[in-house]
Amino acid sequence: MDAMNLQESIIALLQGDLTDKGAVNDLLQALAKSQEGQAAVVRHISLMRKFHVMGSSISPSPAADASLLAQITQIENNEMSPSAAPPEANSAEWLRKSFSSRSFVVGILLSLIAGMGVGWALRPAYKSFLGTGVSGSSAIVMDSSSISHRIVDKQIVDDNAAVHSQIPERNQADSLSKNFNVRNGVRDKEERKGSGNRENNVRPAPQVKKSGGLNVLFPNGGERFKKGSMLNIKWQGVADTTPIVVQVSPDNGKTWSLIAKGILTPPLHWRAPNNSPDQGGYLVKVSEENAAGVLPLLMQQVRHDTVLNIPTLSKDGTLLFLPDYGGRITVWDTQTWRLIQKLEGHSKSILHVTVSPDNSTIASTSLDGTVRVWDWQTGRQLHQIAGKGKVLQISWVVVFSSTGDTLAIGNDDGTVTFLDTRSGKELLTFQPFDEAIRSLSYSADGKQLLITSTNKGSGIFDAQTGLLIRRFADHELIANSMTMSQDGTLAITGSFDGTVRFWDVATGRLIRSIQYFGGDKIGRVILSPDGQFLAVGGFGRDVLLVDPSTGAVLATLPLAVADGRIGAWPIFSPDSHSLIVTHESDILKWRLDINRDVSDDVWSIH
Amino acid sequence: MAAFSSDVMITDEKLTQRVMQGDQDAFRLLFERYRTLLYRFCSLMLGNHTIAEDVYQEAFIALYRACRQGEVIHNVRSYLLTVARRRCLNHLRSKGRYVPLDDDVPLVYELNLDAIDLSEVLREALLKIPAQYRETFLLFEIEGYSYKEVAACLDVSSDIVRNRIYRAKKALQKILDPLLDRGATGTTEL
Repeated sequence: MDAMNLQESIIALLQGDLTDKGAVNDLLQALAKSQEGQAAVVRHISLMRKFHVMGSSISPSPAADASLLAQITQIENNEMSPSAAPPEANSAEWLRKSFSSRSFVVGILLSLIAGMGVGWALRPAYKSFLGTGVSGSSAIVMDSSSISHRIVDKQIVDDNAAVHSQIPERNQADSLSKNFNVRNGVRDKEERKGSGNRENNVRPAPQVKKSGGLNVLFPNGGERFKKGSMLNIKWQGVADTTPIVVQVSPDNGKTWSLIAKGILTPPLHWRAPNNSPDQGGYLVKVSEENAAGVLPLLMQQVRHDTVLNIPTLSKDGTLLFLPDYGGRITVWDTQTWRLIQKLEGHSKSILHVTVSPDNSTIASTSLDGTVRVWDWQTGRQLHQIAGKGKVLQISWVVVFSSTGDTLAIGNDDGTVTFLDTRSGKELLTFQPFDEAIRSLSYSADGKQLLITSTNKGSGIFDAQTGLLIRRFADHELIANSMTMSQDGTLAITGSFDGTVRFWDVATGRLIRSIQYFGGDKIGRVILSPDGQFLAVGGFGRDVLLVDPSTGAVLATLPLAVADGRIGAWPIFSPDSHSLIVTHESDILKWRLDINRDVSDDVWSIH
Repeated sequence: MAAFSSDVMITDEKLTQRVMQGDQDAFRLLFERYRTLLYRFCSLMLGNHTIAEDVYQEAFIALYRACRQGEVIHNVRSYLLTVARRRCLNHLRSKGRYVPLDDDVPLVYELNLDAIDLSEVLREALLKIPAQYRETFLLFEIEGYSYKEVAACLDVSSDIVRNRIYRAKKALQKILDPLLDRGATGTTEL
């Protein structure tokens, strides 16, 4: 076999193209005899390997990525939204139509502005939609112009009474939608509403809905209802075989009350309670009853430079406070993942951090035996007190009260100390357990403390006096974490004995006990604010999303590394739509995709 | 920021369905999955990072538009590569750098043997071989596709793919042999 043939055959062999056994044998024999042949094999393999290495070093620049994503957003806003009219707008159409005095004035104004060189024609359909006294329209709405948006808004607000007394029929709305040109979302919502509901009053323009699927139609924002009046709660976007859960919040989403479940077809008739407080912060939420459809999407993965401990979020979810093993607290913007602040002062690992309700102050505990209170924005330390303990002079956990006036500190000796946040003075100390406090948190109403201990115990205590309200049966090992539903009826504990236990708070009865990790330690249990999910974190085990009403696992959220020594610490965003998990030095943010929707804006009961 | 593979990762098809509904987060996931692959392909095809960025962006934008306009895309990877390679070939033709496929053209090129960056040498060698050989070689050898997958992407038969890869490797070996033999024994690696 000559050199050229040999080389060709080698390539063919390495590519897997040489399949004839005889030919392969011939080649191998030739190679065995030929040093040059063997060298050719080595060279070829080496060369291909070099290509692989070269290829693996190539990646796009972050700037290019950012530019692309910005272009996508622009495309979505300019081309894909319902308000985006095709460039070849039919301007002849509206020119033909008659003009009302009012629209004519608006049209003149807009015409002047259109002289700046950008314009869309406002369809006569807009005139029809506005109704009363508007026989035609010469209003010109410009694309992407804040000026046009303001003018359009004004028209919508001014004509609101007319809008809601002359809501177009569905087929007319459909034809209107093709030519209608208002800022994102308004037209879309109006089109879907069809015949609507006569109880509407002033309605602010709704926001753009992010995704399809389940969609609240009514009440959706701005409506006013009398106490005792009947509301026809409506939604769309699911098959009529999908049972829906309907909840109402009186306080702009802070708390939710279940008003119905298992509803298959709207409307749901709900009477506004006679004893409702006069307020305007009502929202309705509809969601699929079977939350097994949850599909988490990993949206962010950020690598820190050292191991992280339990995170905490600001009340609005925009700031993430991370304690780490290096004795630092880092503060992150959860929208941009920009590092905002780094606080240094502790000399050892930070165990816990909490943020005040007004986001101005944080407190931290550390293995260095101190509890520190910080103005995190300036980085200034406000107070420092010594930890308390029998063996270790350490305070393990710290949490602000709902008003931010008091700091509750869980100590190694089983005591809980209340500290005045402003003065740093100790107000009260009580002893719920005789061993170290392991976890400490306030109930949703701020009136109770949830406390667990290394002595396996867990319980609920009065936040003012420290008096025991409910004690739950002990775990077999350290009770590491505790969480409670917003309505205070369900408490859940997680333990080093590997069990997660669900408790009826009123009676203290154990509802169920589940080993999620085959008996491995539970690090953290936490309920989502809307009560739909329980997140269970272990040590080096994937985080689980669980249905708190049944204990069933809904989804598994993998960790980036599987280090069994390090805890995985989940925390929900205030709207329950995201879950942030810290594990080792990773920060993972998951979007929890579940078919649900909330009123676009608040409505009121008077 | 980088995504990592997980058991929870949802299929491309599901993601494209969400993109169809305007879900930009779903698009970002698709983008994360394929950005490196696509950019690498464009970069090695074109030999120019700036143009490669333009082309790979165009491919993703085309994907987004297609999804939003209701087009059902079963294989996102193929879709992106098809769009990208067409644009790459168009660009190469317009710039006069498209080397026609001609078996009789002697593959004798001069490499800049003074280049000390091995990556640059390899990239330069790639640019010396005909574009059709190059794209086939990139998909097979760099991206690790099978003959069948490359064939589907390029819309040719597996035999043609096999043939092109063979010729590409032979050409590259010939181009790089002088460097391989330079100042070393025959068995020394680069």
